[in-house]
Amino acid sequence: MEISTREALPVGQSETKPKSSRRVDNRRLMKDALARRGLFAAAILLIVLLFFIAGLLFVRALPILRDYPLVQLLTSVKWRPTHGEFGLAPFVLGSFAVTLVAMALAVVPAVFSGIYLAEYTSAKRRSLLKPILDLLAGIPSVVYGLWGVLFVVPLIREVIAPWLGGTLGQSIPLFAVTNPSGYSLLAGGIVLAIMVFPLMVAVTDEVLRNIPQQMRESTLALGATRWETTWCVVRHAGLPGVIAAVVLAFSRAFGETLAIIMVIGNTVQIPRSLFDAAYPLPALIANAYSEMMSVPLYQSALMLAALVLMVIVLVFNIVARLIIVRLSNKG
Amino acid sequence: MNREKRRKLLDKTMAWFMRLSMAGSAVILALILGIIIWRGLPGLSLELITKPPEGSFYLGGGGGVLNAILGSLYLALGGTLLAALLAVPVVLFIHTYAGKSRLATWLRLTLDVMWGIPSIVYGAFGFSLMILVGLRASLLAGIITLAFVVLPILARTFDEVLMLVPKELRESTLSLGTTRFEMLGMLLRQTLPGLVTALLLAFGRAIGDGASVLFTAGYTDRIPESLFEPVASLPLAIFFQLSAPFKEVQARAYASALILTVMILGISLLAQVISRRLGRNVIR
Amino acid sequence: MQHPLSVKNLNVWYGAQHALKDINIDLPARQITAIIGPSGCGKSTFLKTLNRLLELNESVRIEGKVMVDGENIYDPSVDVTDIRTRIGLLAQKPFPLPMSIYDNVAYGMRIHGIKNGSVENGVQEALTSVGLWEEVSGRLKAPATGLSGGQQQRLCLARAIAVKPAVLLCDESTASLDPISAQGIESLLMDLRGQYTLVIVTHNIAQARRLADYVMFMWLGELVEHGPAQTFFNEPQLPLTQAYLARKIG
Repeated sequence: MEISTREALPVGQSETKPKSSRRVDNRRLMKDALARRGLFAAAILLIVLLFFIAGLLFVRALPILRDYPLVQLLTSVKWRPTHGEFGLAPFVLGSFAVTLVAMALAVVPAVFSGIYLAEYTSAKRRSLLKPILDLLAGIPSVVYGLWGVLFVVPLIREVIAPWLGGTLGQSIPLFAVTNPSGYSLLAGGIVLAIMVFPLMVAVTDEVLRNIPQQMRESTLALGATRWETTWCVVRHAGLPGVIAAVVLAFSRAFGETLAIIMVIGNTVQIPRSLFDAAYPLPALIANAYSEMMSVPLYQSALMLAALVLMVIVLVFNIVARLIIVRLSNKG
Repeated sequence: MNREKRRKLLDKTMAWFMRLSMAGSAVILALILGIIIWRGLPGLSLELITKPPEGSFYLGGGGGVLNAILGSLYLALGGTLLAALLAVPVVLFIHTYAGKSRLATWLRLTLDVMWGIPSIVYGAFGFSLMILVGLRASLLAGIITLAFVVLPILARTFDEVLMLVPKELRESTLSLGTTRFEMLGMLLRQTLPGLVTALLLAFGRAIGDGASVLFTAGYTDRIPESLFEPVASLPLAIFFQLSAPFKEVQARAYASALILTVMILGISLLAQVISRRLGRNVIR
Repeated sequence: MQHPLSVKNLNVWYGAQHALKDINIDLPARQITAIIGPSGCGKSTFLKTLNRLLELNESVRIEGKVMVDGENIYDPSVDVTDIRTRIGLLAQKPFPLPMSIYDNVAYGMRIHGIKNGSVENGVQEALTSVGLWEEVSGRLKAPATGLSGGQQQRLCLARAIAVKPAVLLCDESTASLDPISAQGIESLLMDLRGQYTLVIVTHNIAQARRLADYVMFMWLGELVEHGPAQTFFNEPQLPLTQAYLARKIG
């Protein structure tokens, strides 16, 4: 009842409120001010936490950065912690390699699926197809990894490697069969490609659906075919968004750990063929934790690896986000 | 005419290519679920889900993965609730006080950036944090690390729900002379089903995440009785059992993966049902 | 062929809602036909059935025939892109494609396989005929979104006539423009009469009086009355039409 006093006042008197209602209002306003401060503090805490994560990893990586220059750590290919050699290059390159393989496999079908959902299909069929993508996105990393071990690795070992190695592999080093096990860059790439597929489809779909329908009507009214219209829409209005989708997927794939570690073979080397085993950064961090306690600087090297991983992923991620933010401000 | 035919052909080809891509993803989903079920079913038994490991479990002896199932539930529940403690206030701040300000944009960007950080990096960070505060690998450390992983997921999902609240609801509440804090109550009531859905989605993600708890939660065959004891988790149970050289242990890894998949799909189904059930009184 | 456009027993449903009820009409060639009626009466729906843009809407069901030069455009064997090439559309709001001024006009010609040299001439011709050439010839490569609203709408008109349609549909094409730009578009449409069969939708009776040779009056999805403009405005037959023209209803 108290609360209604303010509204009950005749219009002319609103400036000179009776004292009793002012007291009530004060209490309400105080609560409001308190809530504002509390929530604001939570918001600031969130931003502080992000910097804290990066800061703490940096502090932990400092010991090794004091002993070795960063450039040497990033470019050296020698990883022998027991000999005090901490070259991260094979891992960084391994990560880029497996992510690029995944992108090469996933980008075209994913973008086309996104276009299909946004431009070609009916609302009804869309609502049938969406759950497929949601399910794919929901399957946990370790299950993807297991599936890779049970299906992808044998497939490569028994079918893909003999076939590709026997044909293209003779002349092109990229396809040369160097490793008969099947645990390889290609296995990691295939698993990763499937894992980031739903993300790419979803972002492409969303970006294209934000483009006004009028644009499609304009080109269709000129006698363009469905594909010509789609191409025009994607090329002239959707391209930044599609690029954002790809970059976002790239950053997601780059940091994937458990699934990759199970199928990629984990050999410290610079991969030269699709059938080479590799050792991406996340796998290094995950695998090495058990042995790091005994070796000086090992832990610091791993924290540096985590920091490097975070920086690379965040650069790609922020670029994609900025493209998306700019797009949504324009539209 | 020739050109016309080419245009039509390109149009048709592209449409078919798109259908093929979409169908391909359905086939792959079926392949994944099919193989996990086919390989997982033989190892599945009541003992697996009702008993913790016994002495020679990793050599093919008796017992189950109850420790990992419960451990995962504890970790995910704790992590989700802890994340909610920060995520919900931040999102409410964005929607009541920050509006379309620059701060709101920055907060959303922060959340998106946090979403982008790989969970293995959170694992490394959680490990550093443990050393910093002198905590051992434990349920608590795992919960804290998982909270970081699911915080952005929870916050952004809840944020999307709040964005769907009609502007009129906000305006009509405010025009009654309510303070923004009082409006917040209204917003919460309106979006409660959405919040529950967001919590469940985050919970599902937390159960499936193994990389972040790898360093921080430890691993044990016992079911933990306090926050400071180490705890097993289902993803890591799969991971470790798979690397054992025994057929029986590997079969249990497959069965564990089936359990994990069923749990996660069940949770996402539950999330959908709940959002529909609770959504009856919500204005759309 | 006396009537390039003739509509037979056309019915349209949006879900369960019967939006167009049994429309039958022959539209005169190379003249301006104005469709008038209150908002929501089905004017725009009718217009968009004429070049099969309506079917982009998923919940829509269309029955009946629209004959263009004696060919039913709803016949399954008909190529829809060909129909849309022959029947152009000027939309309600100007919507330049997000590319340069030149490419906007050239786009339609290019997809129809016109060679680059001819495209250049075509662009100039189309821009000249909408009176835009002098204003933009110095900045053809500039983005079209930089033009004013009136210029954009003239650009869209140029884009539509560059593919040389036989029929041009205008969906309240002056409604979103300022009065002077609107006047410019109106006089352009007057100039185009004689070359094109024009069908315009308008809720502005005065505009219909100024432009139309032939008038269709629609009401709640039905074609109430139609006839040559002279007769229609001076001696409307039905009480409903009389009331509408006297602004008593609608």
